Amino acid sequence: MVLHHAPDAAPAVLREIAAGAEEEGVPLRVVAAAGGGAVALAAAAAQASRLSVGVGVTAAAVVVHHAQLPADRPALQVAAGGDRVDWRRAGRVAARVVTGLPLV
Amino acid sequence: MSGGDRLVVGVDIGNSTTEACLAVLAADGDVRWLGTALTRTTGVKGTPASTEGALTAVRRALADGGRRAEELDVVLLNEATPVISGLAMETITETVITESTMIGHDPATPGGVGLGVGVTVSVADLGEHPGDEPAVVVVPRGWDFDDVAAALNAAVARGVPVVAAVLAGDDAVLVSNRLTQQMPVVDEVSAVEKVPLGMRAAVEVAGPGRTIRTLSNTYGIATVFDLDPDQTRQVSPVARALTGNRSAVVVRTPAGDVTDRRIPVGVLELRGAGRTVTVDVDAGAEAIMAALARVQPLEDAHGEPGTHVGGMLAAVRDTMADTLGGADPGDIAIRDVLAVDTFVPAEVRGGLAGEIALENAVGLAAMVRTSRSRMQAVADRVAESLTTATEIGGVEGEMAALGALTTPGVQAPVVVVDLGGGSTDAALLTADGTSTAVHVAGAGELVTKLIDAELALEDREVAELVKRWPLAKVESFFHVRHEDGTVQFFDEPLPAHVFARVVVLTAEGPVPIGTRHGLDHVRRVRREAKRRVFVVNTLRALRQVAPGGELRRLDFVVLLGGSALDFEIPDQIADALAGHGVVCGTGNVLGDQGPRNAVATGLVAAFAGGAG
Repeated sequence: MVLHHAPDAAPAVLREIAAGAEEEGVPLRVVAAAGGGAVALAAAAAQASRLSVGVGVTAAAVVVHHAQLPADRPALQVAAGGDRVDWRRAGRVAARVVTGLPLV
Repeated sequence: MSGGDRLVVGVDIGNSTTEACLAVLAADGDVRWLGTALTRTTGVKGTPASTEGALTAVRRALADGGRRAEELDVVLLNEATPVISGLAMETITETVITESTMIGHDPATPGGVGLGVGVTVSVADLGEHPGDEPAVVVVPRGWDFDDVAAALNAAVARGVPVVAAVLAGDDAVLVSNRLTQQMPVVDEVSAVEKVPLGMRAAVEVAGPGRTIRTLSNTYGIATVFDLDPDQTRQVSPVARALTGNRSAVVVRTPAGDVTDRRIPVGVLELRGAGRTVTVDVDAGAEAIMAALARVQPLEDAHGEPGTHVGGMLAAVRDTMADTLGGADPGDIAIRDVLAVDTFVPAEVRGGLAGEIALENAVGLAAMVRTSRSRMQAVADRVAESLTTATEIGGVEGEMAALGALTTPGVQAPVVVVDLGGGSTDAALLTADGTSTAVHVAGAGELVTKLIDAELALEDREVAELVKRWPLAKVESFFHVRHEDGTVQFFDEPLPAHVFARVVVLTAEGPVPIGTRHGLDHVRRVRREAKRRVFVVNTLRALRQVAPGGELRRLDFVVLLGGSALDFEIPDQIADALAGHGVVCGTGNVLGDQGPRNAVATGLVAAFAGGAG
């Protein structure tokens, strides 16, 4: 999977998302993007992913996307104000889209 | 219309639907069918509240046939089947852990592989742990995976043999990936604080796609903990509870034991045909049904007071007394029971991670006869509202048989089987017009209850959906695989909450089933529930009406009622009857109504026959 994040994305958020993906056993490549909304970042990441699943992270939100979904309709959105559990969950959800397990 | 013609409507007020059938009867007895209607029953069948639905059905049938209410000559109502039914289900075993000795659950992602045996130590105390004793490290909630891995690695570096870890959070893989020395790691242990410290413990994790071998084997546990034969006997339920898991933890505490306690279920007393037979409900459904066959016809059934079966029958009697409008429960005589063996997944009492054990249970459907009919009161109200003569046209079973005769390809003698909600009813109509009706306990509601219990859904609505609709597995955002293996694609993406789930494909779209079981398991539970209720009951009812009790002597069997519309029950029944040379199929009343409207049609046919 690929994760695109804006420059202002919090490192703690990125760490939990990566942990969520790792716990589910799915590799994640993290790419620093110039900017843009979380949905657009996620859509671009999904297009760049060989597994067709992308995560977009900004200071405001975490979004999980799939390359085949319409660009404006991601699989999961976690708004700002979430905590560690929500970020970890976003990583797991992204991984589970790849592994074909029910999203947690 | 000529002077001799009469416009007649038959109305069948059922438990869930009210149906009507409109026809013109010519003076020579010729019947011309004009229209039908189907609406929801209002209130409880046979009570004054059900008048509303009856009137709606009449008006719709009139509209369907292009007639006006003023033209109507006679309204015919059915005499309700004189039975009401009740259900009860009791678990008859219970697994209780009196001391915390076992964690046997299936976290989605355990870490490492193998078996580790040592003494339980909190991760906080790992620094002071002596270097000669193997340690099973217990990690409470709130510890970060990096810190856990660092603590374990530090201990290993110090020379402490760390053999396994038990975590509260869901991060076994994360911890495993950071360890310098591999060991089995079990996570998602919700009540990890209850794991006793300083005790011998064994942790086992099997590789992907495999199940544990040592802790699910009684002698494996005995070997690990060096148990004597008496102690081995005590841990045997532990091994059984852990069978089939990918990971497990067993902690040996001095007072610990898991008991597989059998709740006294009690004795069922069946009275009938001049004798009384008692049967231990423990013996299972087969023994109960065999005892029941010996006392046919059943006059009453009692459960031993103070036992489960006593409580079950008392509960059934109470609900029936309520339905009958305040009858004394003591006056209610149970005329049939259907017992079904079932397994209910129940949370192990005293478990540490929400462990589930399959407990044995017995489901019981019971049925009573009632002599009290309140249909006349409904007839009076209908007559008043429509200013039309309204009569009770006939008893349900007989009318259904007459209606079923309008199915193309059917002739008397015919048996109709009404697959209802509470009871399964059969009626035989011979060539000379005499009819016999029987009612047996157990039908659609029991099927729903079995599905609900065996899948641990705890949601009657979802269980009802599982019963009514085929299953599918959502395989991507854009396609599902149906239970027969075919694939269906969608233009619109499926919602994320159904992704990768087993769903029922209802008319309103996919509904997820809250279970970890695969599609095949859900399908098997559904089909078995239907077979154990409807196939068993159809055969029971047919044997009671068949000449000499021999199914071979039946010719035509017509399935009616809501469950005859089911996508698999009619096939299951037809399969079961195939060996007996019986013609069996779902009715098609009037050639276009399917299994619906038989009673309403039969009411009109009976009236025409009587008048002609």
